[in-house]
Amino acid sequence: MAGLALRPPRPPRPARRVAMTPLIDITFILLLFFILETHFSELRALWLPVAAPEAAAPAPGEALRPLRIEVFDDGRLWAGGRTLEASALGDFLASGAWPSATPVVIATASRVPLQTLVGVCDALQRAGLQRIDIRALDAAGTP
Amino acid sequence: MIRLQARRRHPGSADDRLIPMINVIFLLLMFFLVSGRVSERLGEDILSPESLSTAPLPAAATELVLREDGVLLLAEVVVPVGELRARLLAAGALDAGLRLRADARLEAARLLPALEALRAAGVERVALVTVHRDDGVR
Repeated sequence: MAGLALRPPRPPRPARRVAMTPLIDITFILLLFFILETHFSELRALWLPVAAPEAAAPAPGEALRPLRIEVFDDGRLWAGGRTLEASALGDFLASGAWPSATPVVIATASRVPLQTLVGVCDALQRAGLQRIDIRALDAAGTP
Repeated sequence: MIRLQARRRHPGSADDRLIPMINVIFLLLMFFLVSGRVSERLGEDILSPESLSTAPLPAAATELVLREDGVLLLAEVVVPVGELRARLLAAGALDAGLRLRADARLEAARLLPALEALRAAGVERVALVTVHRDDGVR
């Protein structure tokens, strides 16, 4: 019985506490990082054709009449022989029942912002028109 | 007789009072992690135009930035319009497709030369980066 020495039981360790202050520091830093770096806007693509101008011109023997839309600096449009507000383009396109292969020429004045042109392209694509050519109003000449 | 006793405070440390705050911060953190996107940054002070388009952006495409003042940037390097074709070919950008992050306030007089340069470089179409605007019409 000489080898059987019974040790006295250890006193229970005190529960180790997690230090809160460094945890909060790191969490705050993470939170700041995500607040500053994240954004919630959904990015989408609007496909702009950059094809040669001939692509938008009617091919020989093609019966489709090209649609010409002029965009002016004050945001108004000219299409189909009359002046339109930008918001009325969708209705104009819907009333015309243009075939989807109709070539469209957007002739834009020099100070028209991209947002306006995107609005016009939106309306055209919503109407199913994909053959779009954007060119300068001056170079294209006014009718 | 019932005697109401005031609840005795737990003699814990001051850290215990921080736990609700940590909970809230963790919840905020989870919200930003789940709801936001970190990857696609809207850098370069570019205000992307709003569009109704729902087409997804091509992921592998090379990004070309066109600032409001008409300056073109390819991989954060200013590119003169005349050199765009050579730079795009050197970067092998034409095979992977191209996306254009242009400013909504950019005037047509500055947009058209850039489009002309892309046309000269043999680009057929470009994905304009837009912010989706939902007008409720599907």
